[in-house]
Amino acid sequence: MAIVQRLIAVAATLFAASLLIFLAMQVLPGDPAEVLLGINASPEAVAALRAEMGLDRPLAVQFFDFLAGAITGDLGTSATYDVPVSTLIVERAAVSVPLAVLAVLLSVGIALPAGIWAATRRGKAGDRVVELGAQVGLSVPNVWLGLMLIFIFAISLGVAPAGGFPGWGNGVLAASVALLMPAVALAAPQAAILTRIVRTAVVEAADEDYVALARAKGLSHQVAVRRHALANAWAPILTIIGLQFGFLIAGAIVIETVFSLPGLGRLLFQAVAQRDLVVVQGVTLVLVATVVCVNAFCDWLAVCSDPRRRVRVLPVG
Amino acid sequence: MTLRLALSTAAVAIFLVAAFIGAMWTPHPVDGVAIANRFQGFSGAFPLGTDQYGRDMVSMLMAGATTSLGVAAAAVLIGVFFGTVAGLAAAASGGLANVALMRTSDLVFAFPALIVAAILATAFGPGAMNAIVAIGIFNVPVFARLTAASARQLFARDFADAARLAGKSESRIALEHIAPNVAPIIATQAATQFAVAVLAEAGLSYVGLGAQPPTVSWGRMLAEAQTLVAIAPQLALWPGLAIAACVFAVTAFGETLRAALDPRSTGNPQRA
Amino acid sequence: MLGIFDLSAHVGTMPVLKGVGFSLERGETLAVLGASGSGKSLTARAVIGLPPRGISYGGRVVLNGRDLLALTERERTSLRGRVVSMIFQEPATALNPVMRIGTQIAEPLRIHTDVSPAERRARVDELLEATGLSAAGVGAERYPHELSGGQRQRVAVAIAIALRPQLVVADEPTSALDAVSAAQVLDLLFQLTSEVGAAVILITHDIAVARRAGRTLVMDRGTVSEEGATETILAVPQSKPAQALVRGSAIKLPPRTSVVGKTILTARGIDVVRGSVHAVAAADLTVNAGERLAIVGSSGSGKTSLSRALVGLIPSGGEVSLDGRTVATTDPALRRAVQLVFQDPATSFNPRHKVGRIVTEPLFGSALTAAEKADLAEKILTRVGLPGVQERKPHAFSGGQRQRMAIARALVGGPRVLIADEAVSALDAALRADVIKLLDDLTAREAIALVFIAHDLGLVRTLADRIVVMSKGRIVEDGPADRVFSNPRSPETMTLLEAASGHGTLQSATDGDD
Repeated sequence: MAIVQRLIAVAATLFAASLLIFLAMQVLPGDPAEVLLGINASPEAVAALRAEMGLDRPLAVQFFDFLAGAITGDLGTSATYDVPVSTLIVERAAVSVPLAVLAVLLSVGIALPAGIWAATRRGKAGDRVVELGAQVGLSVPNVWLGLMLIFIFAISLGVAPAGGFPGWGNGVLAASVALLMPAVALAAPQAAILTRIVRTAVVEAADEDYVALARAKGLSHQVAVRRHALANAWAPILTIIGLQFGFLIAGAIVIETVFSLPGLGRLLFQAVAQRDLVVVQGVTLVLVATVVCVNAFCDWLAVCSDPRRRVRVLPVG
Repeated sequence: MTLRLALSTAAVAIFLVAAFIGAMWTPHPVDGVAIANRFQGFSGAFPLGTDQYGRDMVSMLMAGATTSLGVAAAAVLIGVFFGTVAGLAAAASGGLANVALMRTSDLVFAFPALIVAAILATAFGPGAMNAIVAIGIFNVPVFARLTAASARQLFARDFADAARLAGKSESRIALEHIAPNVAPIIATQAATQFAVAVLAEAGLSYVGLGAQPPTVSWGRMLAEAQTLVAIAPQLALWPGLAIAACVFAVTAFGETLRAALDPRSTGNPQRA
Repeated sequence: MLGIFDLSAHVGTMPVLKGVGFSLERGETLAVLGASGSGKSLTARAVIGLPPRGISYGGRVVLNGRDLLALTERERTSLRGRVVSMIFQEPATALNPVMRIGTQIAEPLRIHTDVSPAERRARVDELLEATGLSAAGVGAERYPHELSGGQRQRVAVAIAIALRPQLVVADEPTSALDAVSAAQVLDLLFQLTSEVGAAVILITHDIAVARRAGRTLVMDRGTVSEEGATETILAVPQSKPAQALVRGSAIKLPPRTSVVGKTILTARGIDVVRGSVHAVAAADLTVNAGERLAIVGSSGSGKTSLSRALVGLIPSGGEVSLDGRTVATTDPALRRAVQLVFQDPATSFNPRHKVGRIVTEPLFGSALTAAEKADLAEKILTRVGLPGVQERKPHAFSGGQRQRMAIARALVGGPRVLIADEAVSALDAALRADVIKLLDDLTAREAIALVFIAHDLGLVRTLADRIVVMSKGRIVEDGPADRVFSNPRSPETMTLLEAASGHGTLQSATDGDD
């Protein structure tokens, strides 16, 4: 039951988001047909193209057409590239998705052990060092971190490419290497934020009586924290991972620019610059939908980690 | 604790003062090109050197602070104003209004500021105002949720019931009892959001969706330094350090403030 | 078996325990009795060598000839749970919410023994059986939130005795429970510990709980003020703190001739629905001028909901009339006539307002000038013993003073009915007596009807003219106090009286009503 309710909520959010994006494109000054044909086109030609593109139909019809298209994977055709937007997105996602996944893995891989380690050493030197490191990490703009990585590893040491993407066709290794520095620049601030969240969540849970009881049962402090406090810290940690995903997407778009990666971010900026509305619409919809789905998924995992929020059928008695 | 508060307050104050002065006056002009002075090193006249157009780095950082901190402050103020009002209203009316608030903020959270800025830029062309609106929109649900959650707890306290028994209306209670107790929580969160907004502004103006030339901003300085990173890495170093130091100071300030306002952090353990 | 010598504790450099010493024989039961802040819980923590954060101990805690405080942490962990175990106060937080209770009961076995999983399961079942949880249909697969407070404390008892330890330290194990569950959990604790031959240290603020231990140690401000056989101490307390505790538990009020006037308030068919639960169902209640009406019942019986529904603080169905005239529960006239003293002095004042503003709040909407309001406030504050405090903020005051302030606020507008919702249950015994005397005095003088919600039947017996008993949202009994105590008619009343008189607690510190 609960899962059906969640799916309905996600669907409703997606519907509202697509409506917002669609309406935003409608209020934009300028007519896609005019943009496509140029300023010197005759009014008749524009009108003909409008009819061909379906722009003369009522808004509601256009919206449901857009929505139906989006659901079936048809996001229209790019005016500047003259290829289906969905083809463009799939092509660019081959860069963006691995980049985002790599960054999430890196940040979680750093934050979980660091946060838990700091929490079990609460107030001690190790905890302070992690805290300071995290505070510095979340203060550093990832653009700058990217530039510094390029300067150190590509320019000074010459051990990594300064940017660009060779494509997956030229070997998985070369492509992965090209994504490594961007992923580090993208993951660092996320890892810092997440480390603090993990530490706080574990420390808060460690203050509860049940951790004291676990020690009264004969567990050492470290084990009691790891076994009992961490089990209770998952819910806030997962929720924050979900909420941070929006920032990660935004960060990825910027980092793609720093490293000249041909991903969705670059596609979006080029489309903005060329006023290619269909592409802007398609890319934003895909990005927003990804954020919504990842968010809902993390939230669902958080609920699963806590039996108090799971719906359970109680035995009668 | 008080030392940390004093230090972080001082650090934040330095950035704010630099931004204020930068709005009116800089040691050297930042809008001209002085080719003769380009790529200067450290000197008495140019403590941090000059950039590829011969502009003084200190002056650039001050002017950049005006834009970056100004955009961030305006965005946070938008969030605080609309967010607090919406949050208080939702908490006071409860039930459906609250559900509506949660769902709306879920929707807004699905739009990263960068995407909102991209849509706005498509419509109106890029500019600092887009950055303010895009970051501001994101901040509204942040403050609305925080206000609603804190206010809901306060509305359920016995002192709110005592005020009801005195015949006071919910809106009067919101004003007299809830708002003064929510204010310090909002202030603390505002510091955190300000730090986030400075980073977001840097990202937006770096990719060209924020402030446009000739306006100087820290993010734009990074963008202009990018192509020269091989020959003049210091051009990228300074604005990056300025952003990091500013965000660090504001975050530290917010945290010491939070600790100072939190009754649990008096250092005295609970005794039974 | 256990000897404590010159135990001290510090927070930073501030001493919180000084020169505490006592000893305990095998199988003995000892109550450590004291008000909050007396250091009794810190003493308990020292016995298992587990200081709360920021506390450091000095002195010696000798268990079976070995000084716990001098052992390495590894040696201490091998003793905890096996030789000495502990039960915590708060059933809501003492069990891990994301772990099945079977796993939590089995944990000491997993830590200290090599028994097979099958044997562990068998022992868990045995313990569930022994604690009466199996009989209540609670299996090892349940999570803590699916259990009642009393059931959770039974789980805590099962964990404590799982390895048949020599000593069980129970820190206020029943003070968060209602009288009925508290009595049952105490019975169980003593029965099972005597079965495994464990000694018990029972930390409590409640002399009715202390009464169940053979020996009692009275603590005050971090030191031992008195020690001896429980009966002797409770009968003839020698030290001041012990006397205050005993005095506080038996409140003597000046004689009062009960003058019950005409009916002020009548409620018919009050219904409060919370989600799918009927918190209050079809309750009828009358309040007459000058009378003392007690509403009693176990936690969750709907006492608080009923009182709040009467003044429109929560939405309800039914009809309320004032002086024979039907009114809305939000009617200003009703709110002028009926005022409330809340349970928790920590949340009943806006921390940012000054006392003067807090106390005069019920005068909102009256035609009085600010000066007249301040005069009125000063008068009533003086009567509750707090003159000249109007310019201060509430956090400067103790719990007892705050409850006096709450009474001043409730009385400032001259109400005819005062509802006191567990108004003293958050206070220590000694303060409790003071506040009750004040309530008695003020309401008697003005012939204000007093409706008080309590689960402390000793207090009810002292104060009430009439008693209303609630159970599961319904009023199951309504009659004169003497008659209800001597000849209870409903089974629920009998259970309550039995729990309180037979072997249970007369008082508890906190209540989780509704």
